[in-house]
Amino acid sequence: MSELRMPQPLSRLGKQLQEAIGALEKLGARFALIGGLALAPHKVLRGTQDVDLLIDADLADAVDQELGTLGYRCLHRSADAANYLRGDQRLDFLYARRPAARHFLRSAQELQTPFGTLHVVSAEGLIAFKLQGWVNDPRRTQDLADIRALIRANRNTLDLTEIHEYFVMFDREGLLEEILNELT
Amino acid sequence: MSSPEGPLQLLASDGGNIELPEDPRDPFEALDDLMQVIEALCPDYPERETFSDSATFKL
Repeated sequence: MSELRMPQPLSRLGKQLQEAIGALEKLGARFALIGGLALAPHKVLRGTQDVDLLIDADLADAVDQELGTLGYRCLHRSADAANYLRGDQRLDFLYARRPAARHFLRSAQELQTPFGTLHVVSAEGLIAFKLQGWVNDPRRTQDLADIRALIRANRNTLDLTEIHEYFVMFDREGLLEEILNELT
Repeated sequence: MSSPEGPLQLLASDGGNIELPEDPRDPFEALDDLMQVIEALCPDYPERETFSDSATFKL
C-alpha cells in the first residue's frame, strides 16, 4: 500500500467529504466524485458547497440507510438522483444505471486526496453531467461556465469525439461549436 | 496575479473559475484551502434547490 502522506482536510466541506467517503467505503460501494469538487483534478478550481457523487444505482437503499445514521435526511429521491441534507450540508447523488453513467463510474480515475482515496470521473464525463444539469435547468449558468472552463483547460487532451456525442444526445451541437470557436 | 496590460478585474469571468497553472500542488489541497477561505467569509451555506421531478436523465 502506498504510504503517501496527505494532509488532513481543514475545510468543513473537506471534512464532510472525508466522512462520506468513509461511510461509502464501509458499504463497499463504488462511487466517483462529480460536480464542482471534481473540477479540481481537471485543472479548474472553484468554490462549491455541494458534495456530488455518482454511485451504483443498486446501492441506493443501502446508502440511504447509512446516511440516515450520519444524520442526513433525504430531501428528494428518484430512480436517477437523490438529495440529502444535514444542517446546511448537502450531499447529492446521481445513480449510475444507464450505460453512459456506468461507464463513467467504471472508468473513474483513482486518486489519493486529503479527503481519502477517491475516484473522479473523466473530464469528458464531467462535461456530460454538467451539460445534463444545465439542460434540465437553464438557470444553472454555473454548469455552462464549468463546461467552458473544462474545455479550455483540457483542450489538448479531451476526446472531442466523445464530447460531441454528449452534445448530440442533448441536442446542443451548436453550443459545442460556439464554445470551441471561442478557443480559436 | 495581476496583468501588466489590463485593468484590475473586480468581477471574475466564467463564473469565477480559475485555471490552475501547469505545475500545481495537489489540486484537492488547493481546493481545501480555497474552501477554508470561502467558509470563513460565508459560514452558513445558502439553501439550494433539489433535483426536479421533471428532470430528464439520459446519461
